[in-house]
Amino acid sequence: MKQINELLWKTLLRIFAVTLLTGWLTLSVPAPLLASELKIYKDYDRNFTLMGHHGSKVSLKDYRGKVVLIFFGYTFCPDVCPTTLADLKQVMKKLGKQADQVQTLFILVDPERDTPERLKEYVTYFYPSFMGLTGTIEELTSVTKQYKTMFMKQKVESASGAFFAHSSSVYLIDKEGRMRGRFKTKWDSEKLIFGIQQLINPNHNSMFQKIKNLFKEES
Amino acid sequence: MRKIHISLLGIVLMSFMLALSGCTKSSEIKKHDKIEIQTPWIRATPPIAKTSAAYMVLQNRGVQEDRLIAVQTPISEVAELHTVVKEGDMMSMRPVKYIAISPHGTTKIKPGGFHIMLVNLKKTPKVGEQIPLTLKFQNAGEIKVMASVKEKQPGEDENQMKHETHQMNSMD
Repeated sequence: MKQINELLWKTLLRIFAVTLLTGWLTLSVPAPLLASELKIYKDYDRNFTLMGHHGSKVSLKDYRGKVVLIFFGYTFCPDVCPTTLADLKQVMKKLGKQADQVQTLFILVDPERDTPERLKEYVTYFYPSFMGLTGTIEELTSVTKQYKTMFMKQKVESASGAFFAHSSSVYLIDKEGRMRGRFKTKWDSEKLIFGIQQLINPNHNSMFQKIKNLFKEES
Repeated sequence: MRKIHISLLGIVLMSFMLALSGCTKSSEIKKHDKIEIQTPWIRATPPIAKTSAAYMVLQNRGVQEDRLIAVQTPISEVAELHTVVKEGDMMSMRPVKYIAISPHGTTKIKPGGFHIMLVNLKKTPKVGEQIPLTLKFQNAGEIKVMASVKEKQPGEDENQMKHETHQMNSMD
């Protein structure tokens, strides 16, 4: 009789735990971003090579095994670029230890003014592991095309010199160099974090995995 | 536990911001009863940056439209009025001659929209500093404010906090 009672209690506890967990997950997980929904963009090339802010060439394939975030801009940009970089700093902070498995690449489309030395100081100010990349206009054009975007020197000039039109998205690249999604940090930071966590450890945040783990302990 | 910390921090930040906006009211509004300038801030930049931006909320208590036509600050050679233009995923900047505030209306100068670009910085704006701005309006004339240097748009942390609190409650 005692045994049956104990069993009953355990079962009830489990049901309670599962209900609580399911409810919490449903509310906390951004709905459109469960693991299976991070699609793989197969038609995006998985490599490019540009000049790194330390003065030597950097290829996307050097970062296999890391989740990569790519963003395009220029250091004279007063608004969109520093806003996004500050958001990405926040993303890295929220990732905690997992940030070690993420590499942010800031691709600078203004090679005339943004020399590698300038880049290094600018980019690492936001987060020490951020890497600034640049290249010739041709190289940069080819990389932007690879991500189905572009950049353009604008005709309007200000006292600071030229403005550039550029993509405002952060591109999420998985450990194999595959393009997995575009995010706007202004609205989508939470989704981006969740996407990164999915790519670091596909089972980490899955609702079913958490529930499975709950039962695994005793069986 | 971390969430509770974040929320607490948010509450502290919010009350601090409220206190700050209160200060602006008492010191600025008396002199300029038509235009109210709320939460002016300047973006902190890396020392190597040549540009930064100033942001704020402009509120027009008058019955006439007013326009922000020029800005000056001792930390940059020039201050230009700009807007961000979005075309699909592409973002670009465009200079504007003025930023209008409609009668009894509010205009937000904030990241991703209107901004006051500070060009050729003479001094790097660092978090926590207070920097004077002189704003020139077509009708209200010159208004001087102190802008605090921040890493990012203050309101964002507030939303974050609400979100976090919501999650916490749902766990109870």
